[in-house]
Amino acid sequence: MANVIYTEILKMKKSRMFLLSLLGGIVSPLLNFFMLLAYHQQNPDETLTMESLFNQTHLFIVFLVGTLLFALITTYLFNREFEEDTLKNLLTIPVGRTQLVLSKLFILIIWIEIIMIYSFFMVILLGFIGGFEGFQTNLLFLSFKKYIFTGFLLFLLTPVIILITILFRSYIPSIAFSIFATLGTLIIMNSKYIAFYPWSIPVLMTMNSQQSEYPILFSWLIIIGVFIISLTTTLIYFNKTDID
Amino acid sequence: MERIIETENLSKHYGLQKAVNRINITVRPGEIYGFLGRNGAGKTTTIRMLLGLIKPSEGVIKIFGEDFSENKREILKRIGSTIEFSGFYSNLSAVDNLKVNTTLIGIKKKDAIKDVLNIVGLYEERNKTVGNYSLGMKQRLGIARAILHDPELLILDEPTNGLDPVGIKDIRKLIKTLAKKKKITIFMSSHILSEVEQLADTIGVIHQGSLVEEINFEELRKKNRRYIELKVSDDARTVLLLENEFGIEDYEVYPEETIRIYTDHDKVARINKALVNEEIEVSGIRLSEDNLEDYFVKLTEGEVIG
Repeated sequence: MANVIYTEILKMKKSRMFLLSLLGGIVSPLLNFFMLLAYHQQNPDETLTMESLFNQTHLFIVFLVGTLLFALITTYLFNREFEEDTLKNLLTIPVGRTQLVLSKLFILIIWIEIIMIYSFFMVILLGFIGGFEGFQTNLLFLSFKKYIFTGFLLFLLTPVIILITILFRSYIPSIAFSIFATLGTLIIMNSKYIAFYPWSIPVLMTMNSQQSEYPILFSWLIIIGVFIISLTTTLIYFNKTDID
Repeated sequence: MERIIETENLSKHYGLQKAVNRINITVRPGEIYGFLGRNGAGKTTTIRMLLGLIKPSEGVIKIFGEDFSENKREILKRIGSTIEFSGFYSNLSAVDNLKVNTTLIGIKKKDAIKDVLNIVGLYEERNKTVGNYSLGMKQRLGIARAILHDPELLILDEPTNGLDPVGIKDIRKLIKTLAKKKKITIFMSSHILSEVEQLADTIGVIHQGSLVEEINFEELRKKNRRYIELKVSDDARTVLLLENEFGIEDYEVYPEETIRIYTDHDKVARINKALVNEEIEVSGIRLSEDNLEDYFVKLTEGEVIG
């Protein structure tokens, strides 16, 4: 397993997608930085705080950028083996199909958390440049925890994208699906169903879990259920399917 | 071990379409087996079944004498392969692409990558990104990857596909070297008859999913029939004459008043004289052999291979 993980890391060498994903990770901090600066120009009495920059950036990630960006990364990790026709080589070495999926899943969570940590540090850097107030250890610690936790929750939803990628072997269906999933979040977020819709659960859990009308356990069961069911289906399908 | 690959009624069906239909292949140790067929004949489907990429609809595959479905992982470790156009990580160099394999296979030999790159003549280009490789270089790198772990069996799917004449010559030379020096059994597919003819010891011809011939080249050459070809002004009268005057029944009539006689070659002078006497003009007469191409045209019901 360690060998397979090592080769997955090796495959990332000189990968444009990795650099592109880091660029994606800077989008939320940068947009919110400028938004808050613009707001501050209109309302000079309002103080620019690190807390607002952390929270606004997090909101952008968990609502919009996260689902789409992580779907793109997930699709890239799996689809490149079909697109570059390297899967046949791996499977005839032979690397086990389950082992391959699990190794990529491991890389995926690392990658997602790297982007979350990168976004976190970009917030700090921009906050420092912009002279935002409230650099407190406690805020940094809690925000860091929240960013990592958000990354983990969004990761739990990626096996759905893996399944779609392996089924269709293309970027389009998985990206289209993630757009619909994001739109679903926007529609559902102000309703009580936020606790049940898998793609709004990360919003609920990282922003306002106390306000949920239902026990948070329901949401945990749903998001973990989505992870287990989609991953199991992926493994069964991938192990049975012909590689043409 | 008498047989490296042996299939029994190996089949792959996609709905009603029989991509591969009950084929029985036998590959013996140390030989180069040429798997010949037109595009779409079922070559790649067969190879994918031999490598476990697709599951047979029916039939048995035995490789190294063992049931492939039961010992797939262990058997695959002893095989090197390239399938159609070899796929590589385009962002990585040749060395890094090969490192993926050495790591996954667990090759400890220090110079394994250097050695195979030298064999295929890509050592100088080792640090170049594979995305910038030509098709010929990729095919050679594919072979390098396939022989990285010193396999006992090499399965090559159309190794010269898409290459220019120089590239084809290079790959051919490489395959010969591997078979001779490394004593690797090679199973290679091709749709080009001349390609297989120059390399293979045994040939298997697949047509519309069925194996229509499997024969050793030596036998095939012996089997090739000699004939006398006559070009005449009236084939119907010539045929009557051949049958009535000379008792010849083993002949074939071709378009443009051409007749091939497969027996009684010693009577050619007398036949010629008789035809002239009957005022049948003879515009051509030659002793010939059915070439391999003709033979395979017959096998594939008139559809030319390669």
